[in-house]
Amino acid sequence: MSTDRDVTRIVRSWLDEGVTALPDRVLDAVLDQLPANPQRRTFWLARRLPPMNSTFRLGIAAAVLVIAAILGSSYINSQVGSDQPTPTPSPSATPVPLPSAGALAPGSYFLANSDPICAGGCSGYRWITFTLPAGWATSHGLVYKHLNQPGEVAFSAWTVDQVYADPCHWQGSALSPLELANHSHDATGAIILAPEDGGLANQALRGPLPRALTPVTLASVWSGVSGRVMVLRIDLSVPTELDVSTCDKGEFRSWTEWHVADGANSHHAPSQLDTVYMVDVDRRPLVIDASHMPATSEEDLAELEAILASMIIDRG
Amino acid sequence: MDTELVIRAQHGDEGAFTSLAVAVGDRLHAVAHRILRDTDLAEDATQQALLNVWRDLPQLRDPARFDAWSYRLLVRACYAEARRTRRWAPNLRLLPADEPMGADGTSLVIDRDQLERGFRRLSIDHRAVVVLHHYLDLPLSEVAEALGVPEGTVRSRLHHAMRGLRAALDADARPARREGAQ
Repeated sequence: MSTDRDVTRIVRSWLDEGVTALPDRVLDAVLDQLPANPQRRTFWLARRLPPMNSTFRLGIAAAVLVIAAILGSSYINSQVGSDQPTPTPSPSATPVPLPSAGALAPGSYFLANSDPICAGGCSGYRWITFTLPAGWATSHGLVYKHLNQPGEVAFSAWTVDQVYADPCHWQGSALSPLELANHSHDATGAIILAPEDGGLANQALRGPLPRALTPVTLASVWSGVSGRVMVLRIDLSVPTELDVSTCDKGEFRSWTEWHVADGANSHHAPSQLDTVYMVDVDRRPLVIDASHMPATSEEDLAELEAILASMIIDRG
Repeated sequence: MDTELVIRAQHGDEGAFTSLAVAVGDRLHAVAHRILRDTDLAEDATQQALLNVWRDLPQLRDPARFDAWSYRLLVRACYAEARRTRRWAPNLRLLPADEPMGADGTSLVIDRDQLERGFRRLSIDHRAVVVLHHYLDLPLSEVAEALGVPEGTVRSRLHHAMRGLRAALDADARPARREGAQ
């Protein structure tokens, strides 16, 4: 029988054999393709929108001055809630980086993984592209219409760390993994979840039990190859009668954010309805939270569905 | 890694990127070949990884982390190539005339074949850990950074992989049943 030391020695010796030089023709092919592969310019996304509490929903919004730079066009400084006139941005034909904040012209955008080097582990995607109609805006990673109004509709993307059992009294709450965090696949590729008492399906105050985890797919691209990626969808709600100011720090928190100190999704309000998509990518699942209110119009809901249908998860 | 070169390439300097690609190309290709165990797939993965380096370089916030970041892109490209081609096509190679012999007189070719079989049974995730740690000599903390997983996960994958390779080596070492055993 081999000892561990023998195996290591043999493996290292074996790995030392073989190819070490990149053929010149491969390098030449790379250099020949540079003009056809423009660099993707980006700027670093700011932190999440400040937590939404009842006072915030009464219309007291912090003034946010943002400078957004878009490839091939220019945005102006934009102030949320300002009365100053805002020139309409020109539409974009190819996906452009989602700005830090401001009104968004109709067109295609990409939301880059805020941690491209993925230090310590995060969701394995490069960016998410999607197409927006007119009337949408963004702030710190949240894309929305009618922010903080009865007809609000919005979506955001996350690398989730853990799920709070009690999203209102979260400071003393147990934490558990996201449903998709530990899973495997059967011979058909279908998702097999590890048994879990926690997760979003069992999160308190998020709607009637039992909660279905519905398998769906989203469009994806991986190394230039188009395909589909497996997703688990779950529909959640926030109680209508909940007074968020009674929650810890006045925040209703659904999950913590991976690798961000005190990072969490706290964009929740009474009666809010969240459709959460847990996307099966490498390492941690990518989570897309698409939210709306009971008063959201059918037209805006249809726009949100169209945006989700246009989404492509680029896994690099 | 020359961070000045990385910064210049980040700003679109194709000459700087060329120098960068020459500096890292051999190493990336060697890693890809050892992970994928196929010359054509490794060349495709390396080519794609270098193109992705060029394209995504502006997104690299810390140029000093270029090496770990480039390994990340390479391993992703290896995932993609492995998914494209699921059927194993062996790369034949000529055996040298003076094939080294083991202490018991058997050829070490047996070890290599067993290792090859055992290694191909590993997932890309596990192969990458073995190659980055045992070929590039990266400490486990740097392997974790390169792959974007916790160090504990790297340790677990390495343990699983080496156990599988040890089993592959030992499988040929087990004696055959004696004929006519009572």
